[in-house]
Order: sequence, then structure tokens, then C-alpha cells
Amino acid sequence: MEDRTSLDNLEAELAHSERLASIGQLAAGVAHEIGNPLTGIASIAQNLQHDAKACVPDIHLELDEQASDVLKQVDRINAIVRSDVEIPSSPIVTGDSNQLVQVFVNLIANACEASPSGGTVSIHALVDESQLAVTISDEGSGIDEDLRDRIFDPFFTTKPVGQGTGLGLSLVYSIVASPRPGSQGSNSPGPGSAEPGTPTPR
Amino acid sequence: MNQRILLIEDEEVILKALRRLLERNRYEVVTAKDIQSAQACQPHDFDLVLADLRLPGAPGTDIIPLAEPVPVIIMTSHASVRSAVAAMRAGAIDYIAKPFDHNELLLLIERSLMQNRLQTQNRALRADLERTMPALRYIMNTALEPLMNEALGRKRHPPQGSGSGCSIDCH
Repeated sequence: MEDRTSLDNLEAELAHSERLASIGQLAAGVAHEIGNPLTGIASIAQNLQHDAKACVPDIHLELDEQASDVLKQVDRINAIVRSDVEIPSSPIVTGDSNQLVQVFVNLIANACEASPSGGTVSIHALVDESQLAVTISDEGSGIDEDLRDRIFDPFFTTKPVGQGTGLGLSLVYSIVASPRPGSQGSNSPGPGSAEPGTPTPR
Repeated sequence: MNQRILLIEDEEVILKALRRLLERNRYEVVTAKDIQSAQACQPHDFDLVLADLRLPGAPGTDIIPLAEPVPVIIMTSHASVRSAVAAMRAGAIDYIAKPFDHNELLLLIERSLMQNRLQTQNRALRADLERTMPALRYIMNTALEPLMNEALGRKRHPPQGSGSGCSIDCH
């Protein structure tokens, strides 16, 4: 038996990311085409600013101000073009790669162990200006509310004796929390449970 | 004598504006619209080459080996960090992103000319010393060169803290 819904979702996501990639390529091409005329405008405005110095003070100030206004508009367009080009790039996270591997191995292994047979573990990443928030979720039963505060405690485990050390999430927490606190456990409503989100400093 | 710059750019408007800027700042300017016509201008006879990266036919970086040892500054377009890195790898002395601030470009040209002059002087002095006093070769290689490199590096990236000292690494 296979889960059509998640397969369909995957296909839709793939199509979406392909569309984004082609928009990115288009934006890069447009950026280049705009770049040259923009460079011409900026250079001429700066030359005019210089030449205006030869005029009488009243006219000089007025011309200088107008050339500055042109340059401000150039900066605006430049900022738009830049942001369009830079969006499709992958986020770069600074950190110890070994530690980050440990974080992901532990979280994904936990999600797999908590999953029913054939269940899906999904990984989502959300980028904002300074952080990359990664959420790993499984379709398991979730963690009881009264135990949730303890999931990051060392030696705390819900697995049968001898099967879990209770150190995985505590290790994850100590790694993610060390440079900047921001790891939190959450359970989404419904049958599935969400593993801790791990906002990682970029 | 004025220093000579070979300007390679295929956009007429940018070419005109840059020529005005450079000539106003007492550089002698020769222009070319692609690598082929630049090659005909004897690029190695200039003090500096300023070339656009995207040119019809061949990329601006192709002028680097043809102009050797004349320093080449590459003009790149928006946000193309990758192409800037490629230009530096190809041997460009520096790069500037379009559109640029005129003062920034002038500073970059001045700095590149200075850096090139220091390197040329360093090479000439070293050859001179090696010829006349071979014993000094040891000192040149162990003490003076790291200092020289450090001085050049400092020039491009001013020290962040106050108070700096050069260390001599003796092997």
C-alpha cells in the first residue's frame, strides 16, 4: 500500500521548485540586462555632478541635488535587481559540521524510531534574515504533554529499558543551545507528532 | 608622464562616461570594444587594463595573459560573486561590481597601480641583490619577503585594531 497524498504532494513540491529555479534564471538574466544601462546612468550622473562644479553656486547646488536624486533611484533599482538574483541561493549555515551532523542524525533517527511502519518523516526548513529553522516531523503518536518538558533532559527516554540511552535529544539541545539558545520541543495538534524545531544560527 | 589605461567595454555609453572620468583624472585612455581589438592595441604597453567581464566574442578575463605583467581590473555585473572569484583566480589584480561609485573605481585603480609598482620594484631589487650579494638572498627570503607581503596585504585590508606590529618568521 502506498500513500498517494504524500506522493502527490512531493510531485507538486518538485514542480514548484523547478518553477522557482526557472524564475531565478530569468531574474539573473534580467539583472544582467538591467545592469549595463544602470551603470551608464550612474556614471553619467556622477560625471554631471562633477561638471556642475564649474557652474555658478546656485545652479551648481541645484544640479548636484538632481544628480544625487538620479543616483538614489539607481540605488533603488540596483537593490531590487540584487534581491531578485540572490534569493534562489542556498542558505549557508556557519557552525561545526560534525556537530550539525550529530544534531540531524539524532533528530532523524528519533523520528524514524517513533514512526509507524511505512510512515513519512518530513524535513522542512524556513529561512529568515538571521536564522534557519529546521523542523523534522514524523507520523508517530507524539509525546504526552506532561513528559514534553523533560525531553531534553539527559537520560530521559520513552523507549523500553535497554533500547534508548536518553542522551540523543539532550545532546542535540546542548549543541544547538550553546551558541544561541533557540531549540524548542513542540507537538503539533492531530495524530502526528513534531520533533523539536532547531533554529540554527546562520 | 601620464599613466596609460586600456579600457575594454562594449557599451558605448559606459565607455564614453568612463573615458571622461579617467581623462579628467589625468590618465591617458585608449579604448577597445572586444578582446580582439584590445589585442591590437599592444595591451602589455599600458600601465593598467580595465576590462568588462562580459564582452562579445571572448570574456574580459582573456586579456589577462595577453597583457601580462600589466595589472588587469575586471568589471563584473550584479551579484555575480562567482564570476568575481573566477576573475581573481584568472589573475586579475582586483574587480569592481557594476554600477560603481566613481571615487571607488579611482581608488581601486590607484591602489592597483601602486601594488603593481611595489611588486615590480621588489622583483628588480631582488634581482639586483642576488646578482651583487648572493649572501643576502637568505635574508631576503626569510625576513624581508614576509614583511613585504604583509605590507601589501595591510594596504588592501587595513588592520582592525589599533597598534599593529610585523612579525618576522625565521626558519
